[in-house]
Amino acid sequence: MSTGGLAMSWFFRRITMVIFIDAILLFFFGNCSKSFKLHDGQVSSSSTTFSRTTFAELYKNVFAPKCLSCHGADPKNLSANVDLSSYDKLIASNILQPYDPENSLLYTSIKAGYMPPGGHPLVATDQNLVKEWISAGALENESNGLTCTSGNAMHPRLSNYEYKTLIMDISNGQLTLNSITNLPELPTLFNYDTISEATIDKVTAEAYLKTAQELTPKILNLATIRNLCSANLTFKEKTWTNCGLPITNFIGQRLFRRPLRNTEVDTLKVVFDNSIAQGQQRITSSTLAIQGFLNGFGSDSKGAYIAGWAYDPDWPERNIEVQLFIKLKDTSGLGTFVRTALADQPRPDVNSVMGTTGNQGFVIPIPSTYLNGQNYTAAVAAVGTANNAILPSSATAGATSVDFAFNSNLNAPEVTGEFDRVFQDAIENTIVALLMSPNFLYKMEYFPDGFLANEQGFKLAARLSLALGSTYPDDALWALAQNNTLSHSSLESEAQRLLTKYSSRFSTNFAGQWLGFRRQLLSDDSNSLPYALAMESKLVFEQILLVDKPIGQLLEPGFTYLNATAASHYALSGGSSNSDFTQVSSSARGGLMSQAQFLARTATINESHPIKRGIWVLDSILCRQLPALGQATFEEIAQAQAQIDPNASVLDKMAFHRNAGARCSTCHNQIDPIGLALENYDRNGQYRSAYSNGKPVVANLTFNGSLVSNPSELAAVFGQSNEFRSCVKKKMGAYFLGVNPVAPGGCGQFIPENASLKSVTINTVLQAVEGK
Amino acid sequence: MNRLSRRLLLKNMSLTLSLPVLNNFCSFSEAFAAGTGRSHFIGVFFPNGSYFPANDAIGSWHWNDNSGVLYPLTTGADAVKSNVMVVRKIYSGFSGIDPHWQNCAGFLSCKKINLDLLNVRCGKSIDQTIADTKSTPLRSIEVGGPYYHQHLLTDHPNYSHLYMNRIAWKTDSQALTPFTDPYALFNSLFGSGNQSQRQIKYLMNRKKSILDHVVGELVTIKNRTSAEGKLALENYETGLRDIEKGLSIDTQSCTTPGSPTKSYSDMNLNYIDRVQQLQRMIVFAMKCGLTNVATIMYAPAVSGDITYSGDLGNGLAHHDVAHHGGIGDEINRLKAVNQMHLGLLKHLLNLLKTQQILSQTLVLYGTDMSDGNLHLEQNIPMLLCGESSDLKFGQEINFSSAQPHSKLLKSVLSLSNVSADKVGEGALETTADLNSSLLT
Repeated sequence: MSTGGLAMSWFFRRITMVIFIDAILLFFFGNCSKSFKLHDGQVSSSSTTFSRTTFAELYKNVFAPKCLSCHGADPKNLSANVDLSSYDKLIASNILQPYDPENSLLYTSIKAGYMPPGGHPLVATDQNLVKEWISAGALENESNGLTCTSGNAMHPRLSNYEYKTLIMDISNGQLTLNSITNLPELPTLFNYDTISEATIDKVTAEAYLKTAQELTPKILNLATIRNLCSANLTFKEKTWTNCGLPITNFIGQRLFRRPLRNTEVDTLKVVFDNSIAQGQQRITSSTLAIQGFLNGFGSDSKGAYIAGWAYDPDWPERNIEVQLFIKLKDTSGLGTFVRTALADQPRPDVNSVMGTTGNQGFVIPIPSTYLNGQNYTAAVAAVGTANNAILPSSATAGATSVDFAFNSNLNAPEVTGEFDRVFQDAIENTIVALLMSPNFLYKMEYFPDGFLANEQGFKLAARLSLALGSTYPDDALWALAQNNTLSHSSLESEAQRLLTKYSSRFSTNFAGQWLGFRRQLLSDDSNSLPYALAMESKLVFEQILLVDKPIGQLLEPGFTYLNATAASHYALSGGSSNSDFTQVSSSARGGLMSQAQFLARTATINESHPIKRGIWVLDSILCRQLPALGQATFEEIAQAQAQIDPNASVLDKMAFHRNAGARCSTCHNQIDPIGLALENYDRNGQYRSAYSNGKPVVANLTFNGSLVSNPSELAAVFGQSNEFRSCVKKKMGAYFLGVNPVAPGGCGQFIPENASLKSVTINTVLQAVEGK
Repeated sequence: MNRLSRRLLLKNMSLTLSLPVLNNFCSFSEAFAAGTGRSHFIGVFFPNGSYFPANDAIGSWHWNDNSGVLYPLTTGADAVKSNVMVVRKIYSGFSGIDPHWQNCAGFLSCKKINLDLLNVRCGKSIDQTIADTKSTPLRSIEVGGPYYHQHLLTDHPNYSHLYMNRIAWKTDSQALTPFTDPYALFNSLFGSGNQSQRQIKYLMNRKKSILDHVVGELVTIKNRTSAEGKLALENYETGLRDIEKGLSIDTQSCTTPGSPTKSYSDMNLNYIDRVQQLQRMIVFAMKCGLTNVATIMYAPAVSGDITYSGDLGNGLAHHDVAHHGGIGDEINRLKAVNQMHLGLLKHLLNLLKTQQILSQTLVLYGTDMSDGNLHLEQNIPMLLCGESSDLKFGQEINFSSAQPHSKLLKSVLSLSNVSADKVGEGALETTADLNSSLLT
């Protein structure tokens, strides 16, 4: 026992024991039952009630009469700095491990008879009351089971995933998550980037600007956007009203998650107008004629082509647009316009001679209709000069089927290509301004007074849509927002709908960050094993979410999803290819602690690592916080490591760690049962009953009083425990609300055993959206 | 008096910051080279400490140890031992705070990190204090390792990840994001190098028009948000104004280092080349007078994901080998990582030497702890580097008693001709420096 513990036991001995057995028995048995009121077969945020032993009851019946004289009655004279006079003070006294009475000094000192002191231990009923209270999660009160305490309200910036998803949706799926690069890494809070910090400094702003500038041409090239501005309009007709405004409104309201205000439209028009003026001025101030040359005609396996080069001396790196005209040989005029192309092919010979950089070559395919045995003459005009000069040719090129003569002195028709580019630049600038806007990069709740009364609906809609789908409100939700008719009940039904619609995204972003597989899912090759294993984790979570299964089934779903690569890894049947993830019945796989993506990630390159696995499970599956390791602990670890026999069994090595001192056992009593129970999985997550040296895998420790000798027993113990269910809720509280998942109190102290993953998700997201 | 519009001010600034003035900055730098003080400062941080056998205060940092981590500095035709001073017996840190976080964020300030998620702050770092005194076109350049470290567990729930990923703090509450991608830094510093004047002007005007608009939005919005939100938006506004300022910088007369060519998408591949490219750009920017101040993070604190496998072969991640547990292979791997980083320091010093600005520059090289296995905060390896006869370069400085890191920071300030009443806070606060021991 620590020094503090000994001191505490001395003070406890001074307590005069007062026993109210009848009252306690009545209270205990009258309150330990659970009552759930379920709504439509699900646990709903507004309709779930329950009762459990709470701190208030324990205080009234045990602490106040039997302990408080030394531990709280006089705050200036606390025994061993243990204060039982309030829930927060008890938590701060650090003698409590919720769900784990055997590792809680509060209970072990009572059980061993140290407390209360003086040879008057608590009667068994009182002891059990304390034990039950801790085992049930050490609730503060019975009303906060499904309710989160207020979060950090730190949801200022769009996460990168949200940024990309919004753009992907604007493009109607034509742009993918991977087509957006260079976004700066965001800080995370509790491992979720949905609640990142707000500051954007110069380097970050520069990265946003670069991304916006790269992204905008791709967005404007989309058919849906082009349809907003008729291709048949001349440059003079491509006005703000005809083209700029509809495009800006279409993209802007999606980026801002609300309609643009008139003042915002006016200032964006200024950006557009300024850019048009700058572009026109650039054209009229052009000083040097475009240079270029036609090298001739050629043909290869892909067909016939015209090749040459062209560039603007005022802007050598820009790729010039060129136009191909063809006419029958010896006829008059320029000929028929055939097609345009960009001079964007490598021509190191041109760079070498002209002293330029960039790509200025062009290769224009000749349509097969001209390869008909007749002789034609071709001309290539470079767009961007006052007269769109026809490029000089090297010579007349001959061919068996065509005879292309290059004429350098023909008059070009009026070409508006360069002016089109001016419009393109102007609308690009406007969209970049939208992408750089704080109204896009920050979330609405960050501007508490920035909302007009008729925009409140959009605020709710945006929060809900971002929370579940990482995107802007879809048409149905938008309509409700527009009418400002989003009530609690309509929000709940919208949440149900959106969770189904966006289950894949929610699984990727929430579960992917919680369980650590998102990076593999978003970055790895879809034929790789890490990707296959990340998909397994995602699909199991998504299925339990969609079919409304209890949270506990995340640990033992009875099925998993495997493609060909993952099936081969597990030596199970599975999908026929890597794109085919098939649901496979399995009692041994699919659970959070039997998924290879987790097991491999918490191993070293050579071997499984029971300590890493145990720590990860305590943190991620049970939301337990281990004490931060200080210098003294590291020294103790080093001393223990130096004494361990390298040839000892894993079981013996762990026992040595566990028993090396008080600091060691505090953590290892929790870590080791988990780590050892998972030793049936090797470093790759493949099942084994013996180590490579032939020694059998053995686990013989208890966790929360139950023997956990293998992965199945561990999953069963956790699956029945409120601690795991509560942890899932806490992780959601962190994701949606920024509530610390490992701090005492917070979200989800008690979750009913039959609560479904979906109902708890909806319950939590509504708290976040409605601010309740 | 009529109030100058921001636009007019920027317009005038763009004239002010044109080439002739850049030349003046170069002259300014050269004046320092004459011996009046050092005009340039580079702070270099590496994470996770080093290998220290039990009861060995020097650890693997012996000058004459061929297997020690200093070996790269002392060997070869390009050896830089004469430019490096080993400063021993330095301690840092605050009781009860994890040194990974604390001594990274506070590496250049010795200020305590705040363990309150709503109030992320540390302290203004000395690089920024030095930058305050320099009228260079770019205030400072920050570059960083290959990725942003995010701790997988919530076992440090009140620690912001910013603390592990930033050593430069412009103010107590504003950490500066480093460039990690050589292409991004190149484009930022020298991206207009091959463009025509007409093209540069057009692109600059386009960007300015956008930035003007966004700044206008920020000004409108920040008046309608909380104090915390206002601060964040003001920081964004400052960032945009810094970009606007950068648009006006003409780097066409600068000698450019050449664009990077390799891929840096995998953090473990081309690591050495990545850092060398970033260092090269810093040195060329300094040579050109674009800035006098820079910070380099060879990797963020903890660095639990990076293995440097492209350069060192497959092995455990940096943090794992730092907690080597006495296992020989892991100790050797940690030494190899340390040697690789000192090889990069050597590269930096030789670049500065080649560009003839090492004599004007102080480089402070250090880490967050001494023994990474035990998280010891005494005897933290620190190197002070440069080229002048007034400092004891090429020597080891050993004190009779342990010295706070803040005194070394105070020395850097004073050797850079920057006055400061005190450095650090709490147990690390000091008004004294170590100059009497560092100067010849």
